[in-house]
Amino acid sequence: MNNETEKLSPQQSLDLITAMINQAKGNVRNNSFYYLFWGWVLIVAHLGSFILNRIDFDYPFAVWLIVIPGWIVSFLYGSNQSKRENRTTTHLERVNITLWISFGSIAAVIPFFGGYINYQINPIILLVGSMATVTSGTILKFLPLMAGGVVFFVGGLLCFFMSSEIQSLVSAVTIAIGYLVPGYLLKSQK
Amino acid sequence: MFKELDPLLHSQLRLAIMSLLLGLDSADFTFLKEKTNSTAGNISVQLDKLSEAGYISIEKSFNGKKPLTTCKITKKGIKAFEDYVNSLKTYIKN
Repeated sequence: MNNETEKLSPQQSLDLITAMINQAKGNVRNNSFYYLFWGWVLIVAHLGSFILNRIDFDYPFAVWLIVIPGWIVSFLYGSNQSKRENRTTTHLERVNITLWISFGSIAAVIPFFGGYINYQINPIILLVGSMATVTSGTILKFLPLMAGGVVFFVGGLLCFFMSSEIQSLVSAVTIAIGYLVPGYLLKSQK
Repeated sequence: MFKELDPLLHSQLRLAIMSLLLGLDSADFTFLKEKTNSTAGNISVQLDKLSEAGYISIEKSFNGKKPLTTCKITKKGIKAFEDYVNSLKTYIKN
């Protein structure tokens, strides 16, 4: 491409702008790692919580401590990725990252306020998760993830009618269908 | 009446760089070089000109031992780009 030797006509200028904007847009990376990693971590936590409840363990919620190393692994993976790949970030990628960090922050604090919401922690987190999943699917233009968000919404509503023990099972199934399946489909697309 | 086109933007490579950056949050040197299909020397000169005008900001860092140049469009750059497009419209209409 020449720098300034060539005189541009107004139409050429507009064509060039359009071509470059098209190059830049839709450049969102499909990174399935987080969907698969968190899908499995959360399924293990929910099933673990269900089993510990069944065997009358005093602290069934202790299994949720696995999300702490989960956060660390995610953070390390993210910072490694940004070092390895070129640092082109689209606005939508930033929106997607912010969306999931916001969701993670909500999911991390809600359990501490369980007493204020009648311990309906699972349905609330699934409902907030449905918003994040549908939006993420829209950002990636990936229909299975958008459908996954709908599964979260339905699973979240169903949980309101169930005991906390069964909620763990419903949540695990919801995450498997709504999060893990789209995650594997996303991976297979690469 | 024709508005004068910003000479800094009315150049093929600089206009391409600005159009790319407009759609991105940030972009590194290699990406801009590939997308504009230009040489490292040429793009480097144009980035400096845009940076001197305050249209883009350039951050230099290192990825291990490899130098990394990251560019972002500034508010002044967005305004200049919008003015440029508005001026173009008057040419197209007439």
